[in-house]
Amino acid sequence: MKTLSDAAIARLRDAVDRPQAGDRYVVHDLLGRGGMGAVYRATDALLGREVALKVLTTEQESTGIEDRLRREARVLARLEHPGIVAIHDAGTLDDGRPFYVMRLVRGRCLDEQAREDSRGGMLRRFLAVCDAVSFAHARGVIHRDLKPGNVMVGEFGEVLVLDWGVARLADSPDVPGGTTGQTDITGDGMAIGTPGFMAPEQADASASVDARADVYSLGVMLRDLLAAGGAAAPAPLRAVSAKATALVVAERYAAVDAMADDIRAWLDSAPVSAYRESPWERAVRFYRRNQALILLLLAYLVVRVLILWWRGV
Amino acid sequence: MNKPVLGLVAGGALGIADGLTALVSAPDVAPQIVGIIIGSMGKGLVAGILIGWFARKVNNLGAGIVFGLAMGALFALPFALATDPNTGQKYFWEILIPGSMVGLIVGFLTQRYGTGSSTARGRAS
Amino acid sequence: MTAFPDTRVSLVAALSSDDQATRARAVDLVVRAYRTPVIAVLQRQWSLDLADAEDLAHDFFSHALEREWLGRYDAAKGRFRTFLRSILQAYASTAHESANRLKRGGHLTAVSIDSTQLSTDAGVDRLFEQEWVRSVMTIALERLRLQCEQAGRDATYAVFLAHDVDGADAEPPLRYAEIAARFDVPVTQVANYLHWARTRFRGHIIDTLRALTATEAEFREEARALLGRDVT
Repeated sequence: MKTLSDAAIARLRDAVDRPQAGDRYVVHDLLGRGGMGAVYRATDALLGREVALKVLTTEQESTGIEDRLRREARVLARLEHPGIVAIHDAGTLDDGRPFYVMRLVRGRCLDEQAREDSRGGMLRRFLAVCDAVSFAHARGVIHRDLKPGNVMVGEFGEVLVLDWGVARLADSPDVPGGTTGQTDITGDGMAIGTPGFMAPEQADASASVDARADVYSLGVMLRDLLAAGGAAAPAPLRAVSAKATALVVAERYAAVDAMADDIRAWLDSAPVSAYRESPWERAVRFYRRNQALILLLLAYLVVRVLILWWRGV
Repeated sequence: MNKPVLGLVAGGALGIADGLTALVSAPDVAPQIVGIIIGSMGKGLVAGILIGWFARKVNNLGAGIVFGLAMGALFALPFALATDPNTGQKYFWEILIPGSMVGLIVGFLTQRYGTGSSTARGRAS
Repeated sequence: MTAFPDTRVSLVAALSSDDQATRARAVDLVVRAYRTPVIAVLQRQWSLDLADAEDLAHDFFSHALEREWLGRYDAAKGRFRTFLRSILQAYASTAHESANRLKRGGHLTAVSIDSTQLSTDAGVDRLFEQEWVRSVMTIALERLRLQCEQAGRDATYAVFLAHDVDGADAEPPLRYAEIAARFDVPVTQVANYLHWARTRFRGHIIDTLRALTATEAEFREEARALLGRDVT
């Protein structure tokens, strides 16, 4: 019999664990594993295109596990937004596990991309993330695991928020599966999120978690993206990040939109609500915002003076 | 504030200022300053509304500046060519250059600020 | 080639079956699944060269069959793999002591496997498990080869071998296009062959595991250890 090398063992293990999704989807490589699922590159034989196929790989045997993936699929199906990865199909594998199929995103994670972007470019991509998250909040969905690793920048520059596996459905008549009061999609009392990015209240299973938990995560992301830029972050942006990551929930931005408005204001050289600027800073900002006009007016005065000089000569 | 109104206001204000600064470059016209200011303001109002109207139709900073410059020069020209009946002097460049610059500034202002641009129409075409 | 045991019969039942053929097939499977891990442990833990380790492994399995040690496995006390590891430890320890005693002019000692607290080296245990995984996969691969041969799917097996077995060591990794060119098939056919073969290979692993385990719970545990996830 053939002797198998260690590399062959690993390859075969991966190949065997690969989901069998019937005749329509041919599953190829493992793209990544998360806390509650694995994502594979697959081919949709019917449409002849490459897709991403997500399936649970948890070893837990609790009955609610499979419901998570199905709910994640339903959540994604309702969140039709250019900044949220589109879901194409959902079903059950040959071995009974649920799966869903989504757009295959070719690109880089946000933090990787940010290293090459200018500060303005990075902030505009971050605003796209805020738009997507705000859209989800408006539909009663809280992501709860926002981090640069869950945000991809596609090959056309589009920004996509991924991995809604631990999303929470707030009370909403529009959301299937929502009940009176908040629905904890995990249902097992475990703290959800990634350490370092999750809000303090997420680590307390008994505390109430709302959209401001996502505001916190976005604030941490913003802080890290600013730090990755190399140069010291401007004080107003640091203030935005600080407000978003306030430990006391009531002291944070009430909504993602408010945080995004402050970032847009900074980009437009307008006042940032989270930052109290000194008179000098206000003057400098006014000058920056109206630099061209101020220079034109100065030029006009210079011309007047030159004419005076010329007449004197 | 829409662009034509912005042009009207900015043109009028800058026209007044332009008239006042005549005292700087040509102090000898001080006795006629009221008339100068009124004339300058009038030029500014008319040029301003035209420049603002142009900005509503054409969303292009360069074009707006050039148009403003041209309007400022056009309306300043009759006054620049005229001879002052009191002093007998002509103040051609002293009137034309600042007047053109005022038009340029109003052109910039109406392109950069104000509402009601023709952006969508411009992109569709 | 010995036929594969009936996978619907648990290991315990097969090992203690009155039917000699069933018993023989179960023993054969156990030996094929555990021979390599036993040899690896003997080499590592007792510093034996390959020839001595193979001889001792042969003696171990012979003893186990003669004394019907395998039939004494109690599923309630743990996995069969753990049981086998323990009796191997006892046997090898005794054999080692006897060998030393003989050198000093003493006599052999009978092996007892009734000790319940046998300390084992964690690194050696890991080696035992790794080799066990290798053996199970090798058995499953052989099953797949036979299946492909019987179904006239030699090309399927060849592609699977080239990509997922031999190709695992390739640097850079083999692309479907290269394999398609090597076997003169369309690139899409490579994906289809792999899909077919992997599905069957997975089934053979599961069947082999079922034949090597005594209970459903043990099967799930071993499947998780081998595949990294729960298997229904």
